[in-house]
Parts: sequence; C-alpha cells; structure tokens
Amino acid sequence: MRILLVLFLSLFVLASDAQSKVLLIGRNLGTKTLPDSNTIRTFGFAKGLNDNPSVPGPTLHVREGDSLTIDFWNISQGAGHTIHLHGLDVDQANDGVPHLSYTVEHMEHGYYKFKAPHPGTYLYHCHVISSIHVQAGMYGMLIVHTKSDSLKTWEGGYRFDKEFALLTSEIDTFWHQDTVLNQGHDHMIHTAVIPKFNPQFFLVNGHASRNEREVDSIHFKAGEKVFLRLANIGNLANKYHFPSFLNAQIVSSDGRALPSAEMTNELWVFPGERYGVLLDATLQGKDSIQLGFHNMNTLKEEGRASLLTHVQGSLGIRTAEDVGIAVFPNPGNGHIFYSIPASLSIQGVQVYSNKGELVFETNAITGSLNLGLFPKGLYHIQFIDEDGHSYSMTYLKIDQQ
Amino acid sequence: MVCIDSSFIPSYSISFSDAYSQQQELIRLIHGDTLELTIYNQDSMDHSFFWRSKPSMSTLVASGGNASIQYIGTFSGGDYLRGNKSNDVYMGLILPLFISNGSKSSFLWDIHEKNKTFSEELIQGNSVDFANYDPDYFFINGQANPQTLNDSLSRVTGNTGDSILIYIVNSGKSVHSLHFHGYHLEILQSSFNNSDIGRSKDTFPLRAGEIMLLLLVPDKPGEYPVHDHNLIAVSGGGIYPNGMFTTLLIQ
Repeated sequence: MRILLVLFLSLFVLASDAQSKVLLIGRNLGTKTLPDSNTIRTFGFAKGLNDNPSVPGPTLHVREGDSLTIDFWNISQGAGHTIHLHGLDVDQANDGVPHLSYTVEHMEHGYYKFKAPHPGTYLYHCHVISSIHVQAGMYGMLIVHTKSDSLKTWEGGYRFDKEFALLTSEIDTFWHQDTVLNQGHDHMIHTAVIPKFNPQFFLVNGHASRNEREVDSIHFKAGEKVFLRLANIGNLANKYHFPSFLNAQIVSSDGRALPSAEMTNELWVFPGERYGVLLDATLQGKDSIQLGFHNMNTLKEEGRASLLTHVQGSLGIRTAEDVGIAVFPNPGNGHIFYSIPASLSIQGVQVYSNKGELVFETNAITGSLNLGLFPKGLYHIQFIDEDGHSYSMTYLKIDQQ
Repeated sequence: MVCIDSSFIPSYSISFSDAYSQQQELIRLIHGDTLELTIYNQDSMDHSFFWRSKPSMSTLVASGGNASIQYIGTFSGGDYLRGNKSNDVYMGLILPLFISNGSKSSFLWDIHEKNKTFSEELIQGNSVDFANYDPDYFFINGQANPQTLNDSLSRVTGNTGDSILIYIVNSGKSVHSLHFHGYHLEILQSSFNNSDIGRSKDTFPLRAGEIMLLLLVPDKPGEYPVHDHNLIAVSGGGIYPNGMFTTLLIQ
C-alpha cells in the first residue's frame, strides 16, 4: 500500500503490546568512513528523519506471535525502494519484490505487515536492483524473540544469559560511486548494469576489517551461556572458527531449530543464511573467533576478521562432591536422597534440565527430592548455601515413575 | 549455448534428441524401475560416463558409437549421469535422474554458471585454472531470468497444501546459495552432509557437484522469487536480474 507523503509527519510509537509499529526511513545519501580513511557514499535505513542512515540499518525486534507494521518512508532523492522481509515467509503483497508487490517511490511511504511466528534471526533489505542496493547498505537484522522469555532461543529451547548478533557483509568501493548507485531503472523489471565485484573491506556489524583486524569483541563470564546470532547479507561465504574452550553448539538455522544440536569448532554461513550458536565456556580465557570471507566461485579466502572473545572469571561453581554432598541413587528413577555435611548451611536446591531450564526449586532442605514426574534424562542439581555459593552435580534419571 | 544477451558459449549436452539442447533434460523413474539407457556419442572424441552414486562403474562410449548403461531405482531421490573427466560436468555432460514413489509433483533445477573464456579454452582441449574462476553468466536448467519462467521443468507451480519436490543439482564450479521467498522447505536429501536432512530452511547452499532434494508444502498462494543470494549470480553478462532467478507460482 502506498501513501503520498503529507506535510506533517506523525510520530511513531513502538507499542509494547501485540500490535507493534516501527518507522524506517530510506535514504540514498549516507556516508561511511572506511579503515583507510576514505569515505564512500551509501544507501541505508534510518529510524528518524533527523538520523543519518546506518550500515547496517537499525536492528528490529519483535516478539513471537506479535504483529509488526513497518511504516517505510522513502526520502531518497529519486530512487524507488522496497523492504523484503528475508526468511519471514510473508505473503506476496508484503514480500517487497518490486514487480510482484510494490515499490515505495521517492517521497512516498508504504506499509509492510507481518505476524512473527517463529523466534529466530532474520534480515530485511531493499529488493530494488538488489545487487546494488544491498551492497550500497540497505539492509539490517530483524530478531524475533520468544514470547514468554527473551532469554530463550524458543519455547522449550535453550536458556541463555547473553546474546550477540553478528551481521556480515563486504564493501567494494567501486560499487559506491555515483555511476553505479544512480542508475535509473524501469518500474517493472528494474534492470541495471552491475560491475565485477571485488571487495576490499569485510564487515561485521558494519565495522570494516582490512585483513586480520579485530572488528569487534564479545565479553562474558565463565558459566554464562551466550547465544550468537550469525547472519550473512554479503556475496561471500563466511567460515567461522570457534576456539575449543567456547564449546560452540549450533542449535538453529534460518529461524528454525535444528533437528539435533551439533557441537562444532567450524561453521560455514553462506549468503542469506542465518545460524544460532550457543557458547558455553566453563573456563576463563581470551581468544578470538576467526572469520574468513570466501569467494563463492573459488572458495579462496578474500578477507578475514576476528572477534576478540574474553571469558572472565572461573566457573565459580564447585561440585557437590567437592564439599561432601552425597546424592543417591544416581542414576535413579527420580526419587533422590542426599546428605549434607554439618559444616554447610544449604538454603536451597535448584534442578535444571540439560537445556539449562530451571525445572524445580525448593527452600525445604529435607534430604530428599522427587523428580519422578520429570522425563528421563540428564539434570543438573545445585545446592545453594547461605552465601549464595552453588555446589552442583549431574543426575541421570533413567526410568519414568 | 546461447546466453541471455545472445552471447555464445561452447557447451556439451546430453539430450533425448540427436540435436544439441541447451535446455536441461531429466530422467524420471519410479522406485523399483530398471532403466536401460543407450548413449549415442556424436562428438569427435570418446567419452566415458558414470552415475554419481556409482563412481567406480564407468562406461566408455566411442566417438560415433553407442553404449548401454543400466540403472535400477533402489532408493527415492536424485542422482545423475556424468562424463568422467573433471570438467565434463561443467561443460554440460550431465543428465540428472530422479526416482520417486510417484505421489508428489517434482521439479528439477540444474544450477550452474559459465565463464565464456574458460569454456572456449576447455572446448579446444586447453587447461584452465579454476582457482581464478570468475563467471559471467548464471543459469537454471540452461536458462536465465526471465527465460526461466518459461521452463516447465524448473518453474515450480502447484496449489496451497501440495507436497512439491524440488531436485537441485549444482553442475557448476561455484557454490550457490539459493534463497526462497515466501516459504521454508525441508531437506530430504543432501549429498554434501547427511546431517542436514530434516532441517527446515529458507536458504540452501549447494557446492559444486552436489545434489539436494527439498520438500515444499506451500501454506499460502502467491508468486515468490527464488534466487542465488550471492547477488552477483542474479546477473547475466553484467545485467541484473538476468541470472539465477525464478519464481514459485502457487494457487
């Protein structure tokens, strides 16, 4: 739906209920300064009329089940633009492909509407001469959070303590010249001449690397579970190498859970793909996640970036066995007995599933626990003393009650 | 083959007629069928062929001669016959085969790309260095957008709720990362990594020579693009969007 721009702009309100609306402005006169101090022209999205377009555009957030309306204003000095909601499986009218839905022309605005059904990591980008407009900078990330708990990958999924999003792309400065960016197009097909693509800069979240340069860093504590959202909007393949101590585990792709999680130190993310990766470092350490940008025709590495990963502190959780807490029988059918040394003042017991979900807790220290109604499998039991220290052990439930 | 901009690129083909055919062909079998395939070699050179699933069983077809190859459809999924030299598939010596239980509609996408100079050198018998490969044209079943929309073998059509199979072969040298608008699809077969089977995705990377079988069950009508998300591959001869791009048309 297209609506002509009126004299007075309405303020947008990001509602916190199930119906949300977000404003995006499309611009053609952004700038970006690269590591060699040169400045290139960019296209991009901005959240307000007075904001410069950013590359990437602002990350959009929505909750599972909520309906989002993107009110897109094109104030771009001439070019038409659209918003394609990548991976969100929207209907044709909202899919943002110019000749199959509609184009938002200069000085017009239009609405893109969808309901977010699956928690996950998605993208949005312009689909007008997409090769050029995406390279120019018209893209961003869209995250659908779990409805009940934003620190879960999906309902019944993995709990995490922190999350980081990494959106990769490349820049070929030749493509940012006016001769390429200012190409006219016909409204039905949007043909254009595109040059050879030879990127000189390799971006993570818009931060450019010129080989080996650290472009970003992530910090967390040992024992904290970290959820990495990886997305590739570029034309090159990404190859991630995770240091072993991060215990990286792939749990989702393209907004859907994998049939089974996979432990890995290496992950390829190809153009258009997204992945969810859980990190579970139990030891402190400092290393880098290495990221190679590989040519799709030769798989030759064309560029590299690194992300410093700093895991602070030790696990901080001593085992129950270390302090003399005995739990038996283990494995068992869920009826658990435990004994605690008199020197310990245990105030509470918590039980976590193997996915890190708290499934039971009590302040009643009776010497027994009943997990008889829980499914069989691995559980982690933590005994917490009056100072808040935790003493953990692993319990294997092997029979249903 | 004739490109979208009328450029000519030398290429082989395996077709069901005695004339060169740029349009990719497909052999369809029902599970349990036995195929007796007779290959007539109209080239000036001898060629040998083998099925991808049986790489050690090669059959020589002399120049001007013919030979028979048997295939028994013992599984449901995709395979292909190929020339045995390393660049034969790239040059067009590939014939995809699809074995089904007959209950679902199916489509073939033979995705590939070409560099004109490389093909001209190879047809002369010269060697090329694919470490420097930089293709100019990108195809589905030998066609580029918008000609892909007229290919009944690749243009996916159906109705909401249908179970539709899409059999994809990468006969090129590049990796192609196919992105679907509108739907997520399930991986039923993946020659590169069996553990991908069962994944529901919207973007599917295929490496050179690899095959993938996808299941699409559309939940809504409409026309939705599918294209390589290496957005350079959506071009042909430097013109966007005359490359690896087609649409799904669901009623």
